[in-house]
Amino acid sequence: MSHDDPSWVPAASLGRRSFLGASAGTLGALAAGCDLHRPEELVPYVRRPPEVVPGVSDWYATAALRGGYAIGLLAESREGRPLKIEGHPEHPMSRGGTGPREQASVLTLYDRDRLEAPREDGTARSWAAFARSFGPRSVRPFVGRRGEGLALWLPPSSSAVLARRLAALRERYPRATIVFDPTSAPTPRWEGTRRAFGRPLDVQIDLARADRAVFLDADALVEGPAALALARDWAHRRTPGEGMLRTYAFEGAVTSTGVSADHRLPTPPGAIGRLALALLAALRDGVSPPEGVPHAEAVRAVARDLDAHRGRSAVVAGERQPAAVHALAALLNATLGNVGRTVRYRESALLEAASGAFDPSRLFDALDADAIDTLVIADANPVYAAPPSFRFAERAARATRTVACAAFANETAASADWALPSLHPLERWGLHHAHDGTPTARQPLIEPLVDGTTPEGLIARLLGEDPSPREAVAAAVAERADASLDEVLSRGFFAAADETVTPRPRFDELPSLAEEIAAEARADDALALDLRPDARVGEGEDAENAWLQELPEASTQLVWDNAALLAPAEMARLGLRDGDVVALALAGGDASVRLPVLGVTGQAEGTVVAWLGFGRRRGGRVARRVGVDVTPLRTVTGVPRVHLEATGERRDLARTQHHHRLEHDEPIYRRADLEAWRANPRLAPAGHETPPPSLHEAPDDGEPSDAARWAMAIDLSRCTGCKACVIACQAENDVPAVGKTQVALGREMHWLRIDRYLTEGDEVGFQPMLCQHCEHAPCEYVCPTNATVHSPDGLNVMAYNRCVGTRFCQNNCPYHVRRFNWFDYQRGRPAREQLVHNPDVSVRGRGVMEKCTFCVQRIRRAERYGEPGGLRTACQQACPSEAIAFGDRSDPSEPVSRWQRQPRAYSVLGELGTRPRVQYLARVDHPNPGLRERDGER
Amino acid sequence: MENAEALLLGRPSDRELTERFVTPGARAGGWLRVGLWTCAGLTGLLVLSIAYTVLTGIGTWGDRIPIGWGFAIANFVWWIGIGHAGTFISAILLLLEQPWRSSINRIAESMTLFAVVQAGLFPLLHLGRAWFFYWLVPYPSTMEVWPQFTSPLTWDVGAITTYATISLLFWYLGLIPDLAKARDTKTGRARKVFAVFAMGWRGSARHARHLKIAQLMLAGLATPLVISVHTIVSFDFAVGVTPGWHSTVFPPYFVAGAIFSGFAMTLTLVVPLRRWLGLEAVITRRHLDLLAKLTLATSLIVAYAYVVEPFLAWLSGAHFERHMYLEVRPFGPYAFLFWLTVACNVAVPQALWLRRVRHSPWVLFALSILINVGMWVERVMLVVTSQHRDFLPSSWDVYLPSWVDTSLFLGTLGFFGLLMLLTVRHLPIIPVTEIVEMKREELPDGPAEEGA
Amino acid sequence: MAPLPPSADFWLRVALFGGAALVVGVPVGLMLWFRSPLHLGIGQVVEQPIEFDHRHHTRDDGIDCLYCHHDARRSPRAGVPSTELCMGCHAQVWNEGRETRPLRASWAADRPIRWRRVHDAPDFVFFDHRAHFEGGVGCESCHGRVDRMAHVYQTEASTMGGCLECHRDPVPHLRPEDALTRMGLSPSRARGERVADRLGGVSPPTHCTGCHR
Repeated sequence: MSHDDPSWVPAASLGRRSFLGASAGTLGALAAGCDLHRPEELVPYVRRPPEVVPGVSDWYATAALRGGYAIGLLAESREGRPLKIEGHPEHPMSRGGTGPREQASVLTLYDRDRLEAPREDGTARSWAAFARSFGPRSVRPFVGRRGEGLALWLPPSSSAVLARRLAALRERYPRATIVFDPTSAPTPRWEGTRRAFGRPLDVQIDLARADRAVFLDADALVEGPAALALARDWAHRRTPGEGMLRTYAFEGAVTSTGVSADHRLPTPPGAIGRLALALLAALRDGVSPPEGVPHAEAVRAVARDLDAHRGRSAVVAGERQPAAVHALAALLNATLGNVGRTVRYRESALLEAASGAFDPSRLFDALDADAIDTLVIADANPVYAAPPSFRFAERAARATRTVACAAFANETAASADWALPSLHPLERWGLHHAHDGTPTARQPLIEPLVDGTTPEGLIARLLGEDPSPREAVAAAVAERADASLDEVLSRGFFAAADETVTPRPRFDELPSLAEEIAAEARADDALALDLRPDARVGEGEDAENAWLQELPEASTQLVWDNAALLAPAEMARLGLRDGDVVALALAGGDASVRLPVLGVTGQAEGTVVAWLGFGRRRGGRVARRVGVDVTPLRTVTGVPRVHLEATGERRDLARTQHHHRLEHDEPIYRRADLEAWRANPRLAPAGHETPPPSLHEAPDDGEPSDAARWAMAIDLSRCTGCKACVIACQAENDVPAVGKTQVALGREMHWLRIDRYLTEGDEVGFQPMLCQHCEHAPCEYVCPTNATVHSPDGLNVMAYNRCVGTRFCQNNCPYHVRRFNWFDYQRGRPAREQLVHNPDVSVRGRGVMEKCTFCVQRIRRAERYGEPGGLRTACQQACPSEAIAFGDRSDPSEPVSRWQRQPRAYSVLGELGTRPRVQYLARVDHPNPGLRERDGER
Repeated sequence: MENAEALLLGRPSDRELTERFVTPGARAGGWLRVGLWTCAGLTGLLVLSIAYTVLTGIGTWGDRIPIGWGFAIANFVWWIGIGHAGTFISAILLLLEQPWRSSINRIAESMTLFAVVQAGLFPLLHLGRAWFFYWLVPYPSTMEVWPQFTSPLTWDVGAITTYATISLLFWYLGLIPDLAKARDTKTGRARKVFAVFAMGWRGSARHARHLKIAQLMLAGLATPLVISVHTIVSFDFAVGVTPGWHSTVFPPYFVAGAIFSGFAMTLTLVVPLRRWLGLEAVITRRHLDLLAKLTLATSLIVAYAYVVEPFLAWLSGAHFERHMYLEVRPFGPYAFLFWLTVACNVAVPQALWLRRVRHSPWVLFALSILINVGMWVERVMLVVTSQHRDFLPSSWDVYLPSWVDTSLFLGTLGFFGLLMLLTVRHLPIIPVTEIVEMKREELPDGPAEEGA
Repeated sequence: MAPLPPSADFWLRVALFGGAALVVGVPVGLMLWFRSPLHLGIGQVVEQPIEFDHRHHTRDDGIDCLYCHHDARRSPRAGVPSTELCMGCHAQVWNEGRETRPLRASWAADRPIRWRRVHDAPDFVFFDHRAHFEGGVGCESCHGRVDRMAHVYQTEASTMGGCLECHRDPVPHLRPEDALTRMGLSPSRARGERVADRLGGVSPPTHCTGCHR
C-alpha cells in the first residue's frame, strides 16, 4: 500500500497553493519557534501582453478531435496557461458538452514524460539535423524522383491544412504511398453505405426529430464524433410526458447507451446482423427472415413500433459491426422513410474517405518488396495498436528509415529510427471539420512546451516548405470562409454549406447481404469477442493520462486495468470468479492473451468483452504496465471468435464499487415506467412520501433570507453515466489520482462519483453522488475544530486549513462523499506538472478531509467578476445531456427550482432529516407496452 | 488447605509485613528481567510505528473510506475501559468501606494509570495532522476560531485529561505512606529518592488524617468519573448517525463493558504477581473470589446489553438499524467477530458461578485472558462492522488492518507491561500501610506489637 | 529509626512549583510568541533586488499607487509593474546610475526582476484586491503608510484574527472612492457610514469560503 508503488501516479503536484508548507511550517514553529513563511518571489512580466490580466481568466475557442472529426471547445487560460477545457456552446457537435477524454486532455499537456526534442536512435538531435537527413534535397535521392520509396502512415483526419500539405506532397512525389489508419476509421460504415446506396457516406442521426430509435450494438450516446450532440438531443426527449423518445438497444456489452435505453436486449454482437435482417423482413415484403434470430418476439414488437413511426424513427449500427449490418441499417432507414428526415447522409468530412488511402495493402506489398526507403508514421501508434494480421512492426522494420511523430516514446517511436515530438492539441493550429462538416478552427493556448511538430508540419519539412502553421491555417480559412482569420478564431468555427445527400437505396443488394449474414451465424462453441476501444484511454492514445486511468469504467467500476467481461451465468457455468485469469485464444488462430475475468450483469451470454488500449509496453510512466494488451486478438473487420480457458491464476482488480444491489430495500435509486409515473407522479414508495425539504420550515438552518440558496438537481432520466462530470470535477478542483493500490484500499479521491445500481429486473441505473450539501449536515456537528460548517448561502463548506483529520465527518456522512488525504498525494511533482492546478483552489496536503464544494471558487468569482455563460458547476457545464441543474433555489424561476418542484424530485436518504440541497429526479422510462421483455410493475 | 475466607494469612507482625511486602519486586527472580526486556522490545516497536505513522501519514494504516476509524479507536476504547476497574476499586470500594480492596488496590490503580497512558496515545495518533492536536483544546487562538463543542471529540479531551489527572493523584496519594516505609527500610540513594517522594511522611496521626480526607475527597471526585468517562467515550459513537453506533443504550453498555474488562485485566495481573512475588499471604483466594464475582456480575450486565441492542433495532423498525443488527453483525463478513465476542464475554464468564473455578487461580487467569480478548474483539466489532455497511451500498467495503495497526497495538501492550513491571520492581506494589490498618481493624485480637 | 533528610520536602516543593510553572508557562509563552511582531514579521524589511523607494515615488513624484499596481481595480491581484512600465519613466529619468541598473539589465536581457514578497498571505488564503477596492477599503488599511516607507514592510498583523477584526466591523475603514489610495487618512466611523450608504451597505464575508476555497 506504499504510495511509491509504480502504478501510483498522482495527477498533479504540490502547487503554489499548497498549504502543506504552512502546516509543516507550523510544525517547525512549534519545534523551533521560527518564522513560518520562507520569503516567496514575485516575478512580474518584462513586457506584459495587453490581453492578460493576472488572476483573471481568458477563454479561447479551439477544438478537439474524435477519430479525426472536430469538436468545438472553449479553453480557459490564466496568465497564458491552459487550465480547463469546456465544450463550445455554439458548436453543433459539442453544444457545450464534453466527454471525459476532452476534459482530461489538459493533464497530458503538462506530462513530464512527453518527448522533448527530436531523437535519432534515442539520442537527442536538432531539427536542423533532421532537415539534413530528411529535407527535400537529402530525401529525394533515397525516395526516388517520383517518391516511390516514400510512405506516410497517418490517422484519419479532416484537417484542411493536411489536405493542402498532402496535395503539395503528391505534386512533388506523385508515387508516394499515403495511408490513413483504417482500423480507427469508420470503414465498415462507408462500405455498408456504399453497398446500400452506391457511395460511401457518413450518417447523421437526429434524435430531436425521431420518436423511435434502435441501436444495433451502437454506444451512440457516448462513442464517436457525434455523440455529444446526440446525447443532448436524446436528453431533451427524456422529459416524462408526451413526445418522449423511445429507444431500443440490442448489444452484447453493457454500454451507457444500452443502460439509458427504454429497452435493452442483450444480443451477441455476431447475432446483430440476423436481427437487423429480421427487422427488415418484418417491415418489407419479399424479404425472408433468417434463421436463429434472438429475441424474435421482441423484434416483431420493435418492428411494429417502427412501422407505426415511419419517417420519425432511426436505426443506428455500431462502429464495430461489419459492413453488412451498416448496409442493413441503411436499408432499414430507407424502408422506414427516415432518410433525409431523422437520418441524413453526407460525404464524409474525413480526407480521402473510403478511398484507396484507407487500404494499407499497397504499402504492405511495397514494404514486403523492400521498396520503401522512408516510412513516416505521424500521430499513430500502429506498432502497438494495429491488428496482428498487419504484421506492422515486422514490415516497418523493412523500410530503410522510419520516422515516427509521437507525443510519448511509445512502441512505434521506440522502434523508429527517428522519434519526433508531437505537439499537444492545445499547442496546435488547425482547421478541421466536425462530423456534420462544420469547419472548426483550432488555435494554440500556449507556446509549445516541447520542441515538436504535427503531421502537417512534418510534411512541410519533408518538402522544405515553411512549416509555420498560422499562415497555413489562414490560407485554408481564406479558401473556405469570407471571414477573416481573427473572426474565425474568435468564434471557433463557421457554418458550412449543407452537404447532405439523399441517396437511392439499392435493395437488390439484399440477397448477397442475407448470404453474408447467414455466413456470420456459425454454430461453434466459441465465444464472440467484442473488442472495444476503451472509453477512457481509447486505443492507448490516452493511456498516459492518470485521470482517465483512474476513471471507473461504466459497466464494472474498474480502474487502472482491463479485463475480460462475461455474463455471470456464463462465469458460473465455467466455474470462474471475478479476478480469475483466463487465456483467450483466437478460434482458428494461434494468438492468445491471458487476462482476468469480471462478471457483468446484463451482458449477453456467448460474448466476451475486452477493452483495447491497455498493456502498453512503451510510453510514459503512467501508461506502462497497466492492464493487458489484447490487440493480438484484433481482427481488421468482423467479430472475432475466441476460446476461453481458466489458468488457475488470479489477479487483483481495483474497483471503486463492490455492491451493486440495494441489499436493504431502501429506495435510493428510483425509476418507473411512464404509465406508473402518470398514475403516481410522486413515485415515492410506501413509507417514503416525505416531500422534498422546504426552505421555510427550516428557520434553524441559520441562513439569512437575502442570501442565495445554492442547490442542485440531477435528472436520473438524463444521466448516461458517461462520467464526463467526474473528470471535469477532477480538473476543476485539483483532485489527485492516487493509483491502483490506493483505490483498491477504497481511497479514491473523486469528489463526484457515479454510483451504479442494479434495480428490479437487473436493470442498471447510474446515480451521480456528490456532497449533498445537507441543510442539517451530519458531518458538521461532529467536527471538533469547526473545519466544516455552513455558509450563509447554504453551502456545506470545508476549510482544509482548519482540518486536523479526525475523519469523524466522513464516518458520519451517510453518503460517504468525503475524501481524505491519507498520504501527501500531491508531493514531488515537477514544476511543469504543477501548472495544471487551478489557481483558485487550495491544493490539499496530507491529513485533511476534502469534498465537493459546489465549485465554491466559481460561485465567489461569479459574485464579483461574473462567469462567461453564467454560473455553472464544473460537472454541470461538462454534462453532454444536461442532466444537472444548479443555481439559487430562492429564485423560483431558476431551472434548479423548477426541477426540484417536480413531483418526481426526491432526496436520497431524505428520511434521515439531512435536508439535502441536492435532489434527484426519478428516472422515467418509456417502454413499449407491447414488449414484455420487462414487467411494468416497478 | 488454608482458610479461604481470610483476607490475610497468618499473624504477621507489622514489621514482618513491612519487610516482606514493602517492595516485593526487589527480590523478584529472572522472570521479571525477561518480562522487562520483552516489554522494552515491544515498546521500541511502538516508538517505531508511531514515528512511521507521523512521518508518512495515516495511509500506512488500514483505515479507508467508509471505515475511517479502525484499530486505533478500538484500541483506545479498550484501553480506557481497562482503567475503570482500578478507579472502581480504589474509589467506589473505598467509599463502600470494603476492606478487601486494600491489598489489591495498588495493582489496580497502577493498571488504571498505565492503561490511560496507552489509551491517550491513539486519539492523538489517529489525527491526520497530529501536530495540530491543540486545536481541540479551547484556547484563544490568533485565528479567533474555537473548537466546536457539539463534537464529542472535544468532550473526550476533557474527559481523558481529567481521568488521567485524578488517576495519577489517587495512585500517588495512596503511595505516600508506603514510600515512607520504603524510605525507612532502604539505604543509600534509593532511600534519598524515596525520601523526596514520601513528602516527609512521618506517619503521624495528623498526616494520616489529612491523607484519609484527601483520599475520600478524591474518591468522591473519581466515583462519577467511573460513569462519565466511558459514557463520553461512548458518545463518540452514539452521537453519530451510523447504524450500530447511533444508540441510546451505549453509555451504560460501555461503562459495564469497561468495568468488566477492567476486572478481567486485574485478574490477569494479580494471579501471576501473587504467585511470583509470593503474595499469597496478603492477596488471598478470598480476593480472587471477590474479583471473580464482580467479573461475573458485570458480564451479566454486558450480556443484557447484547440482547437489548438487536431487540431495540428490531423494535425501531428502521431499515438500516435492522439490517445492521439482524443481518450484517451476526451474518455479515465480520460475523466471526460478533460470535467470538458473545462466546468470550457471555458464555465463558458463566463458569464463574462455580466455586471451584473461582478458587483455582490459574483457571481464573485463563478465563480473564479470554475475557480480555473478548472485550477487545467487541471494540473492533463495534467500530468496524458499523461503518463497513451503512447507508449507500455503493460505498460498502471491508476493513483490514495494516502491519502498522497491529504493531501499534502490540506496542501499547508492551509499553503497558513495561510500566507495570517497573512499578512492581521498584515501588511498593502492595499497600502495606493499608494492610496494617486492615489487620488492626479486621483482627483486633491480634498479638500486641513486639518491640513497640 | 534514622531522621529523614530535611532537604527532602524543600526539593519536592521546588519540583512541584517548577512543574506547575512549566505547565502554565509554556502555552502562555507560545501564545505570546505567535502574537509578537517578531513572529508576524511586522516592521521587518525584506532585501529587494532593487533599492526601490516607495516614499520617494509616492511623496516626491506624487505617483498614485494605481499607476503601477493598476490590476488592484480589476483583479484579485494588485500586480507588480512590468519592467516595461518602469522603463516608461526610467528610459527618460534616472536612466543611468546604480539604483536603476538592475532595471535596465532586466529590460535589455528581457529577464524579469525577481522581487521578494513582503505581504505573504498563506497559500490557502484568497485575498481579492478588487473586492476590497469595490468595498471602499483603501490600500492604507492593510499596507500602512507606504508613502513613508523607504523599504516596504508589514504594518498589520497578517493573522486570521487581524482580518476578522475588520471584516466584522469594516465601517471605520471605509473611504470614498477618490480617497482609496490616499495615505494618512485615519479611520472614521462617520465617514465610513457615508461610504457604506453610497455603496448600499458593506457586508464583508466572515465565513470560511470568503477567503478559503
